[in-house]
Amino acid sequence: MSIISIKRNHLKFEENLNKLIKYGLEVITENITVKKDKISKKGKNILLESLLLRSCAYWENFLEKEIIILINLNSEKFKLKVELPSNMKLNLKLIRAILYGGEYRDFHDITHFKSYFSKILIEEYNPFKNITGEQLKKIDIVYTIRNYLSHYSEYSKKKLYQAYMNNFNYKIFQEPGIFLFKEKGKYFENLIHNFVLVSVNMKSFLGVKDG
Amino acid sequence: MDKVLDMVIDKLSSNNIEFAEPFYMSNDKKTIMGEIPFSEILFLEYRDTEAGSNPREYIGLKKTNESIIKSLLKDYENMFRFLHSGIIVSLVNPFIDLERKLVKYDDCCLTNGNQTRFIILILVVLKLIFREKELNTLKQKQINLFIKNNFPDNPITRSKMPYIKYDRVNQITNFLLKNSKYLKSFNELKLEYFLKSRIRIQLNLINSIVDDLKDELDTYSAGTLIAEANNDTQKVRADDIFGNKYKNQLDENIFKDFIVKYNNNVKIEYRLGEVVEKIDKVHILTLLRPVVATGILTNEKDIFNFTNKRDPIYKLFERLLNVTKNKQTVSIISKLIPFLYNIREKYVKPILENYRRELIRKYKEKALMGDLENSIISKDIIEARADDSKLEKIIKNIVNYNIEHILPVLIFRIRRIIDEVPENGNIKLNIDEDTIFDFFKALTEVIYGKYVEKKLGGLPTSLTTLVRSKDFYDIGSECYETLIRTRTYKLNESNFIYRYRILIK
Repeated sequence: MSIISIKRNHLKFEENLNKLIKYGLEVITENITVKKDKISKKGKNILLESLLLRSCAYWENFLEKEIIILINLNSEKFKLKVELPSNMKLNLKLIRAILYGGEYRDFHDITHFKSYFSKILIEEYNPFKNITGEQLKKIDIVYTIRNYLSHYSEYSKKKLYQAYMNNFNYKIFQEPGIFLFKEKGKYFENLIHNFVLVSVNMKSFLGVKDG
Repeated sequence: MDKVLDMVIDKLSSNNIEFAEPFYMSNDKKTIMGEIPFSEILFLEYRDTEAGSNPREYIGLKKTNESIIKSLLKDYENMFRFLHSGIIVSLVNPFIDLERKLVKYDDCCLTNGNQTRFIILILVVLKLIFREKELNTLKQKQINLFIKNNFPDNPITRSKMPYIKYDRVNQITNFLLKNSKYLKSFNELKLEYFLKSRIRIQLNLINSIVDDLKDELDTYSAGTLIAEANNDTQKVRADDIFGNKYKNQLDENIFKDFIVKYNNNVKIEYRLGEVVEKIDKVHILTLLRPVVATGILTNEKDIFNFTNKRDPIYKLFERLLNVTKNKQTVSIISKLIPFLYNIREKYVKPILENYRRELIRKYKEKALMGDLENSIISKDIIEARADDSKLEKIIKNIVNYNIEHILPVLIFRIRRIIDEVPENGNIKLNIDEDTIFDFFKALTEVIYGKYVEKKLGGLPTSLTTLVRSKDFYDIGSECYETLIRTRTYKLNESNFIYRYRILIK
């Protein structure tokens, strides 16, 4: 049952992101104009930024569900960590309540939570270990953009500028929409599709097959 | 150096050839032979002039051209003219000034020696740009800036200087940078002496030649005939020979409607690489190939075989143009060409490009999932799994497509819904305007998807053999049959193409 839930969670997540990429690229390449009205360049930039924000929301929603299902597959370590009796029977609702009931928790920063995941998930059901360094780095970039778009603070701007310089060799700051639009949406596509590839790597670790 | 630059600028607009010494002229005044300095050949015209049209563009630094540059740099002053067979030029309306060792003309066509000329010209440009500085590769912007700063802004500069393309220039630069011996010779080269170095020349005085001919031949045709014969032993592309020979007929008949519709927004390229301006261009083969795929000129069984071969396509059109009773079909083909080009540009190109990106994403996912284990890239994938850019490169190699492989199959599939508007004779597709994009999307993606699957599975022969096979043309038939039965598309098949079909043997 839980493996089916894992599969469902992944497929839904991947489908959502793939739709989002497809839409974004249609906007960028103007294929959409065959059927619809033209969108201004500024409008396109705003659209791309909001699509990136939505991809973060999908990612967080996916993680939230994934961790619950993974704990449910084997809750041995989790019970030890949260000091529950080893014979206590858990289910998805209970795990959700324990994990998220008391406070807001956001696991999007996998690098940060890697050691925590090792404490609550048994080896066999800890797919986060299968995410590559390059994939984690790309998630970081997406969140640097997201933070800037959510706050427009000087600090978040500085962080984003550094990310542009370190990862893309850009010497000047540019608004995320402009950056995402560049090279026919190459960065937009690559950064968001990275979430899909992360999901695929996790799925592959868990032995979940498509189809 | 500025004196040299002035001399080069002067040659740009000059319509005369000045010999180094007295020259030989035949009694019938049809031939002149002698030796001229390099400076005289820098800007000789070679295409579409009244004196004919050379079918051969500068091909870049291929093996033969590498030998030319080597022999030039080894000893341009003494030995080069004996090692080189010389150049041939056709002239129209010449004025011969024996005293000043000068031949003036209205038009000229460099029929043999175009490769040598370009090499000499590029060496001169490089020397003028770098002077005493260290040689390096250039961007087109830098070349343009050099031209802008040094050459007069007039129509002659604008027409002749675009011949100097950065990629061709950089080929020579890279050759020199890799060969210290020749780089040294280049660095030591004195431009004033280089430009005075000699090459042998033969001038064909076209007017006198044409005057004595029994057949009526204009100067252009005679010049082109000579140019083609001069290039007969060289490897000239079939495209260039056909485009060169039939340019006028193609313009007036086959491409008539295309030219009207696109009205110079898209320039037709009769010889590959001839349009150097920054303007949309299309090669003749791109326009002719889809016509064959409609089946208007051949039996169905020949379509598969012909559409992806150059020579048969040119032969088909050559025969079509040479028979006068084909006029009606020619006029239909003229209408078909802009119609098919529009399908290519408006629908097929963007659909293919978007789907290519989708397929790359899809196959990257499959690769990570281990779903490509039975494909020809399985081993490469194992090594690249943790490296996204490496993985993408491997996938891209498989997913990349040649539109010329896919478009003909699509046109072949839709040939029965091509029809005529009864009121005005225009060509249309028997499909609702609202659904046309989705229709093309479905069909194109099926064909492209299968194309990639075949490549991934490993090809028994070459890709070219595959795209010429009946099997490949069958791709999409199921999808098409389904679509024409779907009410959404409201497709009506017609026999329009078959009504105008003529079978060219």
